[in-house]
Amino acid sequence: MIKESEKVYFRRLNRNLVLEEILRVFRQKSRLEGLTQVELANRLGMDPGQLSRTLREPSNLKLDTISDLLLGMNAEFNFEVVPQSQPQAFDEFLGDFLSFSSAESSPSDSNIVSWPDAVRGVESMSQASSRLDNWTISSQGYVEAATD
Amino acid sequence: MFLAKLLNDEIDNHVQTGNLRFAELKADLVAFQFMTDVEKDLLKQLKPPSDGVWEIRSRRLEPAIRVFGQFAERNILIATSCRYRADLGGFSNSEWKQEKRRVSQIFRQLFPCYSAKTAVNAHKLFDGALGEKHYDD
Repeated sequence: MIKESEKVYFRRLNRNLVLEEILRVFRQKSRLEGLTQVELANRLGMDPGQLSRTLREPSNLKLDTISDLLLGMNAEFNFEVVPQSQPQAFDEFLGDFLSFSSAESSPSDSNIVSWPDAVRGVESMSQASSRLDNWTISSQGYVEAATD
Repeated sequence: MFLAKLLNDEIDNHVQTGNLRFAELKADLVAFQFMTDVEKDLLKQLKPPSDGVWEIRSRRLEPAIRVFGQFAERNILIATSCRYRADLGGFSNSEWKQEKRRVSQIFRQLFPCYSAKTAVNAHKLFDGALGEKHYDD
């Protein structure tokens, strides 16, 4: 049986991701078309304060709210449901999100790894750093010898 | 973002003992990876900016939680610890100073002889900052 903690995690994650996508579209419309929260609220017949609260908190998102927001921004979802990339999600996987290359791997080995791997990544970076006198951390998360 | 093992273990322990708030915290941290625009309300620099200590705010859900960390390099935030917001008290409370010291201590243990990156302008530390100032006046 799926654990309650996994359900809670997955619900929150999906709410977060949906909200983030809606905010991304809103910011884009704001930049390109000057759309404001007040204007969007007016379009939807919502109180601007209520809209502001909705856009700040994933827990406020209901399917009807999402639908209204998209309609108000003349947008729609284009999505598909796909199998989880690693079904043991909660215990061993929180990733596909954290890009990390270990200190031992070459820069071309950059890969997508799990949450625990990211933790090991910090340990690995830490250990690698202790072997170098003059070092830095690259933007990809490698520990490497400093060039200057 | 990378998590110190200490923090990862703490979060996992909470989840495994049935504290579902920490399952939500994990979701917030994972979703954080996807954010293209980062508001000050979500990722905030603690004063003074020269300390280089940041907090990720897991908000709106009760109890609120703060995850602390420092930038090892641009776009590389090392998360070191977390606290219930209520346990920290007001900003003048000594708990904040203690936590900042703890964050720096964990960072130094992970990376001896390597200083955390500091900047007043958030754009110099990560992509997607909405505004230069990610700290309160």
